[in-house]
This record gives sequence, structure tokens and C-alpha cells, in this order.
Amino acid sequence: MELPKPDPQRLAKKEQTAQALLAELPSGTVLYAEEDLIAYQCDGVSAYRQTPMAVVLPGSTGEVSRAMKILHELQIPVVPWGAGTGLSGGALPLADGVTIVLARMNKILEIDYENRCAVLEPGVTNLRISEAVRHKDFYYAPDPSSQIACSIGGNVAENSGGVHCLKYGVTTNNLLGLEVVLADGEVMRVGGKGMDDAAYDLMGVLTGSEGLLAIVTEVTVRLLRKPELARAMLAVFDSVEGSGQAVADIIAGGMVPAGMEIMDKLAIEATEEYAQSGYPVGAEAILLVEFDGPESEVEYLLGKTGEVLRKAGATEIRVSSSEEERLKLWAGRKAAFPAMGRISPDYYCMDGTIPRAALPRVLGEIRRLSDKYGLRVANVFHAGDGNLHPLVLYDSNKPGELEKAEDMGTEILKLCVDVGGVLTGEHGVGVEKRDLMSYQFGENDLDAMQRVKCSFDADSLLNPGKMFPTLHRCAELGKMHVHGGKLLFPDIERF
Amino acid sequence: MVNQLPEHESKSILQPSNAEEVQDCVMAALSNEAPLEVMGGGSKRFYGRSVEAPRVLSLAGMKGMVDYQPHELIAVVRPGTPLAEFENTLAESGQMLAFEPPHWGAAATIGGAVACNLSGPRRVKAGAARDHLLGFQAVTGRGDIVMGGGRVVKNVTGYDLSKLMCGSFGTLAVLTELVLKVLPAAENERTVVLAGLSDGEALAILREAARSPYELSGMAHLPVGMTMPAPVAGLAAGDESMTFLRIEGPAPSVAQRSEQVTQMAKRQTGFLEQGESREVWAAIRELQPLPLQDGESLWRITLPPTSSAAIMDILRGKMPLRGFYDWGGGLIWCALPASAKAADVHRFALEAGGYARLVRASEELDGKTQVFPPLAPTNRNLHVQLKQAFDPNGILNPGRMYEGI
Repeated sequence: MELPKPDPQRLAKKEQTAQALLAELPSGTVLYAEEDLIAYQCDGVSAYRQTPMAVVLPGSTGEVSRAMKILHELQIPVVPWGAGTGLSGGALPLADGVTIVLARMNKILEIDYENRCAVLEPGVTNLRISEAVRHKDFYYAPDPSSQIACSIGGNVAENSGGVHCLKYGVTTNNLLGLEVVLADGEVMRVGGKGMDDAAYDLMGVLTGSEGLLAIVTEVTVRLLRKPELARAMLAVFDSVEGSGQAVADIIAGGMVPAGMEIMDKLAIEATEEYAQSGYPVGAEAILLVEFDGPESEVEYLLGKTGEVLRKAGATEIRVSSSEEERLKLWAGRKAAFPAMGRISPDYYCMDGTIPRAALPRVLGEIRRLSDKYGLRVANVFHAGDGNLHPLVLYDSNKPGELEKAEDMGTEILKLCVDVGGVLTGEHGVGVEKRDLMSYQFGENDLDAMQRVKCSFDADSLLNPGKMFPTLHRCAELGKMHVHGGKLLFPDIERF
Repeated sequence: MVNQLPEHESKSILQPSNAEEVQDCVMAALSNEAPLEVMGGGSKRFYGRSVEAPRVLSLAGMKGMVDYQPHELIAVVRPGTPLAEFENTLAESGQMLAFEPPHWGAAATIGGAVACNLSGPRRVKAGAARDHLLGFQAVTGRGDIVMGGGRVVKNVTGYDLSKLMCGSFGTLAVLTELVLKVLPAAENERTVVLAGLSDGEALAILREAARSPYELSGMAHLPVGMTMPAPVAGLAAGDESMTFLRIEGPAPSVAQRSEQVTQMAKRQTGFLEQGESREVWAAIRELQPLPLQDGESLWRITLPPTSSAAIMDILRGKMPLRGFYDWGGGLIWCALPASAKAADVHRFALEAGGYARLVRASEELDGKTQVFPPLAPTNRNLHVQLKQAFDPNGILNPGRMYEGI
């Protein structure tokens, strides 16, 4: 992965930029001394580091807007930063750019139970939303594993998922409105508290745009009533393929569980050592299934699923009988990433999505790649929606291992695309998968996306170097394609 | 009938059978500077400003399922596939389009439903059309064949262009293939019917139901004066309003929740079971309670549920009005007299925190009547930029949404 080359002319404007920001913004909101910038060198992908030219910590939409106007005027690129927990390097700073950190904007502005929504500043953490409404038995559905730390603004930028998105959707399905600041500092609102946007679905395009289209300054999320009951079951299988088939059988039976997660042998071992969830160490695969809803429905579906699982060859089935047991069953899965730290100095987390039917082929290939590269792989899998997280274990202290892990990751992601899937299910493209975009998308497809980028940010000042392998100049893209050198076509009444 | 225009229209019809032929049509339109009116079955042709275009590009010839994987919860379908045919195919595998798109006629196609981002009563629980379009292939106004999204239910690779396609009324690109999320249909359903409530009482109950853990999948209120669907005969007197709460799921769950909803409402008129329940919700989805009379225009207003009774009162104070509530009060369908000024309706909606759309005008629209909500300058500018990006020469449904868009 190559980091974008800093522009010497921009670097030369460092002092001028900092002074311009200091002149317009309250004291303490602009950091530019080298030692103050260290905390903002990398996001959740620590392999890539870069020190920004300056960091701005705005306290309001107005301050974000002012900062953006100044930076637009000076033509200095901007990297938006939520909580810095992203897993694709989407918030990786630019040496010739300014990072705008939204963490100080962390107020819950309004909770409206009658309309079932909450209005939030972007720095509010995901979990805090649910905690704030828990006493009324409400919650916010998307629950990324990093929910204790990740911010709602970052969730919008990455269109974050979680383990319950099969039934409840990802971020984009749980938003009602946004306020954003555009590259030129203009403030724009889309959506609201109602269920439709005005015309084009700008909120839909902004969600998951990885900070390339606008900076999110306010978010209105939908709140859901907590289900009466949630119960989880754990089924043990002789093979991951067997557990995958069981998932297909559950869906074929007309059921949509709140969550379905598969873990393979190595993942089970690592998490059990770390979280003591009572997972069967030595088993080839476990499948976690959770149902939530009215009590009678949960009981009914657990019964029906139990039959499906037995028929599918489950060798053991456990069902949680209390909330404590349910949380214990989940604790292992939720700790899967940190648990890898126990068995390997470093890990590289992949995030492709595949059609579930391709699971046996993909797992077989991952095993082959694991042998080829001599690196172990643990697999955790959001089985309901086909989102696969192979964790490639490596040791960055061994020369060449990071590169090997990256190469292997690339092969795995290409494989996901080859079987009809996609590069990323929930972590985003960022810098990490940027160069693979042209493997999944054709030139026309990428051009269409870049035209959207140009519509929002003609000077390409927002988060450049992320998502796109090559960034065309907007003026170039604006031209009409002239197919085969001519635009003239015979009249075609023949259809 | 598909592909037949009213006699007084002299537009010629292009009917391509695949994406390459659509591309040919677009390239020809570009070189002749002759815009195209993009159309599925034409069942929602009245929705939007009139399109000045000498030719209709009909997608009605591009029919049928490309790939259907029930276990993967996806269906890949051609845009001209009749909605009824598509839904029947899904039903054979026990699945459905959870957003319950309105048909508004037998000619309705899936492409048209998605282009209009129209969703039925289940939108409150299952999301809108835009939440179910996972990917697409389309031909832009530049003549490029582009793909967006993917064929899996979870995907954040690149911009979510599917959202932009959905609800853009064919003004950016011609959809040539759609990937939709499909879900298992509920095993059972039952509708709790309450009679004789005022709008305020009914909406308060619907909001309480929406805040309950009973997972309602339909919440509508029909004030007095609506045409009631047939199965409700006997459940209310002719001069009573009716309120409907739909519960779907496995039989024991439906039984439990309908009991809980009844207790919550502290009154009960009756239950509608299975087929009867389905019939009522299909009637609501198809706007049968609100047959348009001569000189009336059909409006659709989406807004925060707490604002809906108030805006209905404001409108009633200014003009004769007939209308009903869906989405637990988050959606109002109403018929307004031709004298109603569009600008006023839009303003009332915006002031209430929502958006109004003139779905069907009583008479031919002049160029000034605003069909879609007025946009703030920054939003408007982005719409112009996006139109420029996908259709710089303005050959796809020009002016359908706004002047120049």
C-alpha cells in the first residue's frame, strides 16, 4: 500500500494554514505542534501511519463550517475523524492535510420517544445511544463490535454493521436525517424525522461514503423498542461447511434470526482462552443463533431451529436459559478480534462478503492459501448475511510477514469477488482495499462513483487517497465519452 | 395495457430487450438531441412533472428473473418484470418483497416501483424500497453501462449508488437489472380493527403501538368518509372511522401479540384473519379508500408521526380534504381540490418537518407547479450536479422531478 505523496506546496503552507485556523477558531481547538499530533497518526489499522499537518477539534457545526471554508480557500485536503476505530484506514491522516476530529461534538441533542428517534452530535459513541434510552426499553440497532468506542458520525461514514444486521439492517437502514458540512463549508440537511427524503436520496449516498463527500455534523437515528425476549443457541458441528449448510436450512425454513455467527476451530480456541464462554474447544465449528421478539415467537423459533440444526448434523445444541447465559454465549464472539492477540502478535482482518453457497469453496481456498503463505487463519463469519472475517495471523517483527499477510489478504478478497461477492461487507474500502476496487468494479462503474465525488467535492479536498485507486480530475471526467470516435448512431425505430 | 399510449399522444416507442439495446437508444437520443421518456409499465406515469420527449423508452420488453437464490435472500430481476408476476414467483418460495410496493395497476413493473421509491404499509417495520435495492445495472444518460452495489445482502464497497437510483424517477440512468433483497413471508397474519376513534385518539394509539414491543407491520387510520375495504363490513357502522393494526409472524406469536395490542388499545372491534387481513392491507396499499374524484389531486405527505394530525387540521381549515394515515401517522395520503396551491401544501409539510409530493394532479400540470418538495439552495445545487454527472445532456426524463432535473 502506497501512501499518497504529500504536495510540497501544501506542506509549505503549514504555518499559514495553522495561523488561519487559529485566527478563526476558539483557542485549544487547533493543534499543530508535533507532539500534539502523535495521537492522531493512525486509526484502527495501525500498520499505516502518518502525521497530519494539523488537527482541528471543532465544538460545533459552525466551527466545522468555518474550518472547512478556510481549508477550501487554501486548498488544503481534509481527513474527517470520528473515534479513530475504523478498520480500513479510512481516517489515516495526510501529511499535507488537516484532520478534523469530531470527538468533542458529543452531545445527545434530543431524544424523541413519540417519533422514536434521537438527534445526536457525531461524536456520540454508538453504545451511548442505547444506554441513554435503555431506561425506556429502547435501543439503537446497529452494534459494531467496537460500539463502546466508535462514534455515530464514523458509523454513518462507514455504514457500519454489526452482528444483528440480518434482521435490523446496517446504519443506512436506521437513519432518518443528517446534517453535513460540504467541502466548501456549506451546511446541508437531508431527511429529518420522517421516513422519506425530499428527492434524490442524498442521505443514502452520504452514508458509507467514507468521509469523501461531506463531514457529518448531526445524525438523527431511528430508535427501536427492545424486544420482549432474546435467546441464543449454540450448535456444534463437525465441519464449517456443515454449519454453513445449517444456516441455509434455517433461512429456507422461513426464519430470519436476529443474528447468526459461525466460528471455526482456531477462532473457538482463541476466544475460549480469552473470554471463557464455554465454547467446545477442539470442535471444528460452532454456530451461534439468536432470536429476539415476543416470548411466544422466540420459543417457537428456537424449537423449529433446534430441529433444523439436528437434521443438519449438529452434534450438540445449547440454548441460553437466562440473559446472563445469553450474554456469555456472545462474549466469546464479541471478543474474537482482541482474543487473537493471545495467540498471535498481530492479525490482519479481512471483511469480504460472499454468497453463502460459496462458503465451502472459499474456506477450502483459504486453507490452501494458509498453507501456501505459512500463516494461520482463524475464521469468524456473519453467516446470515455472508460477511466473512478471516483473521490472518502474523508477526510484524518477522521481516516480510506483514507483506505476506497483506498479499494473502489480497488473494482472499479477490476470491470473494470471484465467487460473486464483494471486497468489504462492513469495514469500508479506505486505503486498505483501495487498490482492489478495480478488481470488483469496471472502469465505467468507478467513473460513475467518481462523478458522484465530483458533484460533492469538485476540488477533491475531502479524504483524497481513500476508496479510489486513481482519482481523475473532475474536469476530465466531465467530458462526454465518445464511443468509437463518433456519437452518431443510426436512427433506431427497430425496437 | 403495457406499451400503449393514449391515442392523442404521438410519441413513438422504443422497446429494447437488453442493456446494449438500451445503450443504443441512449446513444441515438444523444446524437439526435432527442430526449427519452423512460417508462416501465406506465402505471405511475402521472407521478412527476410532464416530460417533454418525442420518444418513450419502454422497459416492458425486459422481463423475467435473471437469478433467484431464496437461501441467499436475493433476486436479480429485469426492470420490466410485472410486479405481480415477480411477487408470485417469490411467493412460490415462501418469500416476499418486504417493502410491499404499491402497484396502482396491472401494468406495474418492479423497475417502476424502485424508480419511484414507493413503499407500502410494511415500510414501518421492514424499511422502504431504497432499503431493499442491493445492486443494479443501468445505462446512464452518457450512454455508459454501469453496475452498482452487489449481489449480496451486506456490502459497503464504494458509494451506495443503489440509493441514488432508487427514487430518482429515471432521471439519472435507465435501470436494466435490479438486485433486490427478498425475505421470508410471514406464516400468519391478523389485523386488529378499532372503530369510531377520532384522528387524535387513533394516532395516539398507533404511536403507542409503534413504541411497544409488539412489532406491528401495518398501522393505518381511515377517518370517516373513506371507502372501506369489503372485509370490514359489519365491524363498524358506516359513519365510523377505522383503525388497523397488522400483526404478522408464527401463529403463537400472532395470537400473543394481538391480545397484547387489544389490551393496550383498551377497546376492540374485531380481528381480521389471514386472507381478509391481506385484502384490507392490499386495499390500503392501492389507495382504494381514496378514489379520486373529478377535480381532485392526490398528495402524499411524509412527516414525523406526531405532526400528522396537526397538518391534516391545517389543511382541513383551508380547503375541503379527504385523506387517511398510514405508517403509524408517518404518511398521509390526501385528495385536495384543484384550487389547492401546491406551494402552500409544500410549505405546510416543510413547516411540520416533512415533505409533500403531488402524486397525481387533477389536470395537466403547468411547468410551474412543484410536484416534489422545494429544495434549499445547497440541496438543489447537489441535485443539479448529480443530474449533470449522470445525464449531462438532459436526455433521460428531463424535467420529471424539477425544472432541468
